[in-house]
Amino acid sequence: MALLPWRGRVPEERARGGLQEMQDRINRMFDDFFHGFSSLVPWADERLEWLPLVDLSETEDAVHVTVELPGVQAKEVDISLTEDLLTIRGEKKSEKEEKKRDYHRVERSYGLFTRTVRLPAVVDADKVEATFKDGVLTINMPKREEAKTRKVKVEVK
Amino acid sequence: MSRDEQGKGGGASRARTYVPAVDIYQTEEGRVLVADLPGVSREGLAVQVEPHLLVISGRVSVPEVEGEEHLSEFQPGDFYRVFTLSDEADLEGIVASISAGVLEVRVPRRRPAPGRRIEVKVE
Repeated sequence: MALLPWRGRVPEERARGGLQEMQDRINRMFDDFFHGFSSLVPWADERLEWLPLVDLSETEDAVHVTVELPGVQAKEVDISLTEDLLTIRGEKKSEKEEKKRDYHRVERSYGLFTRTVRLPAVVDADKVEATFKDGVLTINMPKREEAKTRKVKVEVK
Repeated sequence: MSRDEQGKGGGASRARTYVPAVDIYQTEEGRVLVADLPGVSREGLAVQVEPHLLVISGRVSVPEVEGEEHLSEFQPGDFYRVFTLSDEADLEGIVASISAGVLEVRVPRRRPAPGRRIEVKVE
């Protein structure tokens, strides 16, 4: 069973002190383990090497998803949509496989990734727009007409 | 410093400062530092060099989130990290570039000055 990797981001106010950092990492590991209601944790796929962070928000007309993918080429990202499940998968390659590098520090994540997110509403697959800027992927998904919340007056008899 | 600044319009409440993930490796010329700074463009990036310090700060423009948030795993925020440079670092030769949210800083090693013959003046 693969442990979820540390996401590599530490809010600065907690970044002091080795012990505190270790405590934070352990807390985060437990958070990662128990979290994820709207996000399906892909336990099944052992090849996964890292999990990109995702934001999901919803307005009346659309569902927005942002994914942090620094260093990933747009062509390495595969986005697929099935019913109300959005899957983003791809590979973050390490840049230029030069001669064996002598690493002093490695904190960044590499390799295959997959995130599957359950969308809060049914969206119109034809109108989905995805843009990729500065390593952040933004997916805009307009809702299908019937999914938009409409106020319906209910008569009480 | 991004931490102390007040917000950019309405997005102030979401801006936080993070320590970015960094890889450092050695090459023949010196060291290369690679940092993940998603959401940071060239305009938002500042790399400062002082005699023994390399300061990296990245500003992220935070779009207002409309509607209801279901998942918020990464609050978009600024990045800030400081590294110490050794005496061997050639400060003039430091080169930084950013692409797709990844910053690369190359710090060359100072080449030893070639030996010089010193003329001795005789009074």
